[in-house]
Amino acid sequence: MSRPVLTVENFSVDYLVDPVVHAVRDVSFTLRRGEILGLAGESGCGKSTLAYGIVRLLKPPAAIVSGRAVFHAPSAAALSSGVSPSSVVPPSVAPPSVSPSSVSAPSVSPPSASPSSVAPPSASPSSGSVSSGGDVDWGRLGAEELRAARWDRISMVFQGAMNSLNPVISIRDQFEDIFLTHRPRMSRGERRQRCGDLLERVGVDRTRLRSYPHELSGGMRQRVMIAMAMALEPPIMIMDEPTTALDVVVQRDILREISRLRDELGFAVILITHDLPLLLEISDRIAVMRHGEIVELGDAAQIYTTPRHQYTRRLLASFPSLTGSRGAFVRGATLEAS
Amino acid sequence: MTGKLTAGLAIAVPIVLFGLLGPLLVQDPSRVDDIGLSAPGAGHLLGTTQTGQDVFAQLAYSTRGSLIVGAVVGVLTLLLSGFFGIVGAYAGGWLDETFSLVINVMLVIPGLPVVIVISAYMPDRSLLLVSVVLAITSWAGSARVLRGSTLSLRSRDYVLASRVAGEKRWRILLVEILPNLVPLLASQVVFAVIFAILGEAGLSYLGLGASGTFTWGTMLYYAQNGLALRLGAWWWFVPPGLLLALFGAALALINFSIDEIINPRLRSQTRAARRGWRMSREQLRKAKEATL
Amino acid sequence: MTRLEVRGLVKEYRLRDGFRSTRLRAVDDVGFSLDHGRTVALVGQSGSGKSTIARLLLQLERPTAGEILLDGRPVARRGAGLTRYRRLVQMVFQDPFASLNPHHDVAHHLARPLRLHHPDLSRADIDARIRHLLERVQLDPGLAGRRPHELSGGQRQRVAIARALAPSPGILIADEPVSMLDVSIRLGVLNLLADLQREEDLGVLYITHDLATARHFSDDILVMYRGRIVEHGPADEVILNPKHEYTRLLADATPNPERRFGEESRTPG
Repeated sequence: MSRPVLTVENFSVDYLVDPVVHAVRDVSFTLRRGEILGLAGESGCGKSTLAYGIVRLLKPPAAIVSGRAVFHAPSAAALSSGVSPSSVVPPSVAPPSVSPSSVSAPSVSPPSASPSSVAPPSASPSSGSVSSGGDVDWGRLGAEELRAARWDRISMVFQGAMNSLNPVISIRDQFEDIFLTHRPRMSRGERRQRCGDLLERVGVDRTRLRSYPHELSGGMRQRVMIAMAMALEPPIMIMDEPTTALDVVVQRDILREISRLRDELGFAVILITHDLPLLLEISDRIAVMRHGEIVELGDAAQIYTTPRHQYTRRLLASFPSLTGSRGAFVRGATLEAS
Repeated sequence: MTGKLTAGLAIAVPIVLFGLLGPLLVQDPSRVDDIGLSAPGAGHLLGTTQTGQDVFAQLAYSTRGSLIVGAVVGVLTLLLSGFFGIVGAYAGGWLDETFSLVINVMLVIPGLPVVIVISAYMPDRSLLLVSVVLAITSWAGSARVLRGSTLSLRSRDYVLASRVAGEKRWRILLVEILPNLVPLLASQVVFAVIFAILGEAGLSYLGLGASGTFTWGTMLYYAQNGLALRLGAWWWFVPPGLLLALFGAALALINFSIDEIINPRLRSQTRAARRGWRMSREQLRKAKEATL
Repeated sequence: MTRLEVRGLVKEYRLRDGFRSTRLRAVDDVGFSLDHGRTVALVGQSGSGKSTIARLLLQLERPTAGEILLDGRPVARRGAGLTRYRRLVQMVFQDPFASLNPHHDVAHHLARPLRLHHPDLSRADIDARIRHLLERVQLDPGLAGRRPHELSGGQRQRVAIARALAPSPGILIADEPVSMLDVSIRLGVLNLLADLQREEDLGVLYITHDLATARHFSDDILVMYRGRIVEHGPADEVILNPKHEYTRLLADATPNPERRFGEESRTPG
């Protein structure tokens, strides 16, 4: 279980404007198989930029100026059990020639776009070059390989992702799009079956496949997005504020769901949020970010009980405890009353 | 000051000055001479028409005429669309319903045919009449745009905060809401001016414009009637056509820069903003490749 | 010494769907009172009717039924009575980026309520009051000439608080005053509100979805669910010992690391 699935080394992202903004500075960490790594920090600390950088979805003027993100291939056993056979290509198969014209085809787009544009139809066979054994330096992939590898190796759920569903296309069609582009050899019946299974896995009835996004509540749409992110069973999922727009009760349900699925399927999660209590409750390790740097990285228990960095302590103190006596909060009226 | 605004003003301001000052300096544009269709030269800066009238003098008066049409329509559009769009939306209730109905009715009236019918009925048309007709048929679109913006501004928190503070309603409208509508109003007026000048030119070219006055449109109409094109008298039709096109383009440029003020997101999409990035060509290419 | 009381408050909205119209009861028979010197938290999920109550209390909308009493008398809906009500009942909005007019500077936002409710003040008096107000909310008085977009979120919310304090009210309604702010400055703003409440003897209605701050920041908690108040009691009692099923659900759903690690293990920071 301790084998890493992702190593990020000396990763730096700059916004190349005048003056240059160092959004992420020299960040290094490893993500272990099946762990939930919390990434905490306030708005503007670079946590989202880091996530976008890892999957290379940064838009200019942001650019990765140093460092790399290396994805470690899962073991063969995990491959055969996790990914459907059609996608496994022997390592000896050379990447098929990729026509330059297909580069301009619509493909992976920033989170605002609908998932139906996740990859071009032409992306299919070239996934072989990625899922072949060995480590993959994400930064060295060409456009076509990158497109094929996203969603297959790493998938993302972004803040407000529930609003990125295409309103005029049914849930089923948007769902099947993923399989059509990444698993073109999958049969129609199999595809239908998988879509239904995935929805049920996140606690949405499979009859909902026929619905359109506006017929679902915010929480349900977010579940659908999570189901889509899990569709290809990637070893890594990045979730950027996946529940911020939702009510606490719905948030709790979704977090439970994520934890349960993680236990079942063994994917690793990078969970990004400003809500430190939430991270403390569900993640295995927590990285605290400030001004683009990880100031502290440790087990959730260690962060909670013995925070080392001053900023971590300050952040912890910003959240009064729900049930504990400590308020971190000196309120005259309360003191007088007690 | 963006490049677009500078370019727009650099074209528009000289044309406006020409329209204002030109008529004071040139000869009578209607004076007939026996040197018909002479090419540009010493006596006549832009040559003469078929009947020997000075083209440059006509151009000066035409510019003034077209600008008057633009200005009148601009002001009327501002008043009408501001009143029906902003006041209605702000007041809400039955007033909004009524005003909204008026706007919608005006919107579905086909503008140009009505103008043609009205113009055809009036044998003696002044420039003012043509402008008023153009204004009445064209304000409704702007009113709708303004209504939409006012509806969204009206429910902003800072407007509610003013109500909670106890501000009078008219004061909220004038002090809190109107300043935020100014760029939009400006852009609507500029658009109305473009529409009016082009519309008037179109009417005049059809022979339905103001009688007895010069505008760019009437000049083109007379040049057409005088077979200027067939006779190769380019100096007769090129200057008014060129000024018309240039002025329209200048106002459109000004409108673009106002749009960028209204919507800052447009600003970051411009070439100028991209030039501000410190990205090498290689980095840009890689970024494009990765995010395609 | 102000007391705002609400009895049997109902607000219905008519939803038009083609020719049929249905009624949505956003607030259903709500009653509570706000006393000077006390903070009452109104908690519930989005759509539970919390913000509708704020709008009703501020007379931005009219209730369908029920009454609002200020110091025991029904509130005036127009004229001098309304002006007095506007002076006594003030509001801090949720979004500090939307509640200040981008077109006006900070001084304008503070000067207007001062002029409206204290018409006899001279220009110099108003300037002095603006400086004082900014100091009260721990801002540099030099910020008076700035526009909202030059300020950070926390600074804007402090300006909004200063604006609410300008007419010297007796009741302050704070609708999610910190939910749009960065986590590390939230407590600062809440502590400021608490300080001001004590100094000015304000009655505060703290509307929030965050149970933890509601517990520490208020004396009483009202739990709202689908337009109704389902639980009402002293803050600690409601959170630590919830009676109603919905309160329990909310408390269980709120992230709470102590459930995982236990309270004693945390070292005081």
